[in-house]
Formats: sequence, structure tokens, C-alpha cells
Amino acid sequence: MEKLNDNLEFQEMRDQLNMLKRKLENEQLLNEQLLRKTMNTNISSFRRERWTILLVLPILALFYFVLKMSLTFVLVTAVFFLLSIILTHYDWRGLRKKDFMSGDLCETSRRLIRLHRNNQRWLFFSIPFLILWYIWWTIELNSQGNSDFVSGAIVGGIVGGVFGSVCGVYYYRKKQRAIKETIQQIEDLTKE
Amino acid sequence: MEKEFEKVVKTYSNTIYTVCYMFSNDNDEINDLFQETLINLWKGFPNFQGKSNVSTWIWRVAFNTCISQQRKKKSHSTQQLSIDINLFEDRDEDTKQIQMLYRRIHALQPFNRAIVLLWLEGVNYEEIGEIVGITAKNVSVRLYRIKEELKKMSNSKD
Repeated sequence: MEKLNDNLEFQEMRDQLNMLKRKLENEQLLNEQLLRKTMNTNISSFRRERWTILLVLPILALFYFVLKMSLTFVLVTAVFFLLSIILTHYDWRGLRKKDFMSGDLCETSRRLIRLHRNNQRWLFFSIPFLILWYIWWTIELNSQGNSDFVSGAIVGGIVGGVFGSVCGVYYYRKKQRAIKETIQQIEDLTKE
Repeated sequence: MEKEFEKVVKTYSNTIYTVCYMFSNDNDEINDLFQETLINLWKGFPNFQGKSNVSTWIWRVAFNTCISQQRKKKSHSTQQLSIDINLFEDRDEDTKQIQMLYRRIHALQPFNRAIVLLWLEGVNYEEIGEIVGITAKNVSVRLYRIKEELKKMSNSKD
């Protein structure tokens, strides 16, 4: 009797799936515009990094020519940005491969978990660096003698830093939970 | 190649939409996932060309797109699909039945959703295993557990 109920329940689900298929048969899911848009997608891996570099250059110029920060400070900042871009590109390389999405689900999920873990490792370096960088930034500004501007910069930096940290911690913990769940699912799925 | 791609995705557009529906919470999300899946299929098409079963490849890319956490990074603007149905809001009898199916499948964990959807589609255990990345034996064990879980859900609703 139970087996019969099982079969009935799953037959019901199959029937419901067939209803969905019949509904979709009457719809035109793909049109020319969508197909053209898909095929025109630029899949160049350097695109985003190029734009980021172009955005950073004016900021560095501002530091040096307008705010009169030292050349050492500007160079260290530039190196940090470059490192960040290079590591991002390196991390995402494996995921931009044209056949990445063609792998099985477990493999794809594992690669994504590795990516997110690498991102989190970067945080352990970048957060202390940014704290020291901010202190250095304050010292350099202070040495220029414009106390109103310096006070404004310090207060702005603290407010921005606190807000950014709170958001960052929240996002980090959410991501950690999601990763942990996915790992658990994969382990559960692949154990014999 | 464009003509080939168009032919393939038109043949499997309903399959892709079904997967996206089962992994979405609203119509906007279906749009996003559907279009991201198309883009991922297009990216992988030059490498795929006839290497394996087309349906296996389509299933894999669709599931990977839906399960992937990177789908939250929307790097492409999406447009609304031009369809007349709204599977989340319509109230006709057929849609209510489809929504029942959705609630059952959507309550499962993502990997289990993929497995049960493939099984309902009549895909054999070997192919399910190939798509998910587990053995056929594991598929049968997993399906048994999924069935138990679905039964519990039905009983608790009663």
C-alpha cells in the first residue's frame, strides 16, 4: 500500500512537470533580441581589470599632485592596487575558462568554494594593510599643516571605516555560512 | 556556429527555463538565471561542440549557473523574457498544480533539487551521476532519501 502511495505521489509530480512543459511549449522563451544579446557578450577576461586600472590612475594622480602625498606613499598604494587586481584576475582565471560551467555540479561548487576562500585569505592581508595605510595617510596629511582638512579626512575615514567594517563582517559571515552549507552538501552527496 | 547554438538552445529552452524556475524565488530571478545560463552556454559552446551528450551538457550548465554562488554577481544587465505566463502569480488550475510541484522541489537542498528534477524528467541514474558528479549507486541512495524527505513534507502538511 505504501509503495503504491509512493508511486502515486511521484506520478503526480511527473504529471505536474508535464503540465509545466505544456505551458512552456506555448511560449516563445527565446527571441532574436535575446539571442543577439547573448552572442554579443564580451567574454574577455581583462575587461573589468582594465577599467579598474583606469579608475585607479586618476586617484593616484590626485594623491600626488593635489594632496602632495609623498612618492613612496603613492607607489605603495599603486602596488597594493596592482596586487589586488592581479590576484583577482588569477583567482577568476580558472572560473572564466570557457568550459568551466560544463563540469559536474560538485566540481563547480568546489571551485567556487576555493575562489571564495582565496578571497577571504586576501582579507587577512588587506585589512591590516589598510589600517596601516590609513595611519600613514593621516600622518602625511597632518604634516602638511592644513588642520581643518586633516580633521575632516580623519573623521570621514573613521565613519567610512566603521560602516565598511560592519558591512564587511556581515557579508563575510553570511558567505562563510553559505560555503559551509555547500561543503556539507557535497560531502553528504559524495560519501558512498 | 551561431546557427548551431541557436538551434541547440531553442531545442532545450524549456528545459533551461524549468531548471531556472525551480531555483528561483520570483519572476525576476528566473529572467536573471535564464539569461546567465544562455551566456554560460554560449561561452562553453566552442569547447563543447559534440564532445558529449547535448542534453547532459545543457543540464550541467543550467544547474551550475543556478547553484553557483557567483550568480549573485550580476555583471550583465538583463531584460524581461517576453512570455505571457507568471508561474508565481497565475491562479489557473494548471499553474496551481505546477506551484505544488515547485513548493515540493524548492523545499529541497540545491543538489537534491537537481537530482529529483532529473529523475522526474526520466534521466537514467548513470546520466544523473554524470551531471551531478556522483556514482549511479549514490544516485539511487540519494533518491531514496529524497523520497523519504518529500513524504515527510507531505505528511507534516496533512
